Amino acid sequence: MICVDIQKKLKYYNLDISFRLDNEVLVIQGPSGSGKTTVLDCICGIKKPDSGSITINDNMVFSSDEKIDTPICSRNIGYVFQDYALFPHMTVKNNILFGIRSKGIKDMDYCEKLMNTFKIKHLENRHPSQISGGEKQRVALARALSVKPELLLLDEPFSALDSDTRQNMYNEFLDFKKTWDISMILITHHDEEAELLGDRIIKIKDGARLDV
Amino acid sequence: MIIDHIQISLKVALTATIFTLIAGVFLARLFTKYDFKGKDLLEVLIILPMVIPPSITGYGLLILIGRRGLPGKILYDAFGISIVFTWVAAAIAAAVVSLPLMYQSCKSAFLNVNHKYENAARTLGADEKRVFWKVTLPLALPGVVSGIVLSFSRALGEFGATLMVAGNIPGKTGTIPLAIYYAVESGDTRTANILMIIVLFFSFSMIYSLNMWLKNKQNA
Repeated sequence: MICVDIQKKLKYYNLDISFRLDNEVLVIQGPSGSGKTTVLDCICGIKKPDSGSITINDNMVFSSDEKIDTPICSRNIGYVFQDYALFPHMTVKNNILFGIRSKGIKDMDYCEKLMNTFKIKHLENRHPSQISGGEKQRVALARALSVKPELLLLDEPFSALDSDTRQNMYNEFLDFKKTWDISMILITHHDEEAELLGDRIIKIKDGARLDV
Repeated sequence: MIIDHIQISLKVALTATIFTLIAGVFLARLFTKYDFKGKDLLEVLIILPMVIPPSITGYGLLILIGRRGLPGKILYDAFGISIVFTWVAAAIAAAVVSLPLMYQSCKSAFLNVNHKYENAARTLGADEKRVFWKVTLPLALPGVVSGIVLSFSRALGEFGATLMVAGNIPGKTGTIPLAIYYAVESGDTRTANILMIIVLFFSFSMIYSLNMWLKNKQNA
């Protein structure tokens, strides 16, 4: 069970949002600048909320009352960034191995398993600049899962893709959702994408939920 | 004789560059990542030798590391070591004047590294040490290498400050720039010409190699 209840003062409005999710895909939908990415940044620890709490499977990673602020590297959250943020100086394989080595995961075959699952084995020695947008997205997903996270955050993962590739990637995501038993928060501003991919949708505007 | 000058110059420039590399990377990282009291003043002190005449830098160093200066006095009283007029003094002078170049190159390089890569590394479980060595530094490498080449060239060509703290002792502190000056002054144009060609060839090769490396890296 993931519990999020955070408040943060932003430049033009106050972010104030709370929700729970449990092994489902929660979509946070809202227009550009509504605070969607800030919510993800607060959950993974890149940004610090002014107040509130974040609990991931009984592990409180942030609490303003109890003065808990677990570092990003110890939160065990996978994050697929909007433009994927694949390390440009590393090959596809080394991008995935980075997380496995950082976490000290002993199962070195795990990298091979991930590459086979996401059909990127043939790209293992290529650099991010040498692969397509759809391939980058698969690599970013495989890399985020390399640390065996308890929660996966996806920040508009389909926004950089052309419409044909996007349709294919929707299907791949739905397959991926069935296979991986993991809580996910996906951000989008597309209605169709939210309906298709999410188990539950939260709409936000100017940092607040519209459905509460 | 010419070989002596080349050997001393390389020894001085290499030692100075190793020091400036370590100090420059450390200070640039410190100043780009953290805010602390006195940061702006300290940064001016690091850059100052780039804008003041080398003879003033040399005179300042002479006061500091000479036997009357506190560091120099401590060294002499405790260990009987006098740095002034040795190759070590020449290396210190070269390091002080070339540090601003290394610092500025490293600082720009670190500022240009997109934070999203560092944050991505953190979400993948990397601690700050691993983020720096595996992500930040490799991405900043072109700027750091440019800093190495610039500061090595500056250290190799250092004249004013070196003359003040190390003098021109043949076989001991006689670097190439000092040797050229004294060769011209004494009418030995042959030695001056040979040393000039060596320095020009060496500097040209270094800058050319750096540009080629950067070009290949951009195209990769």
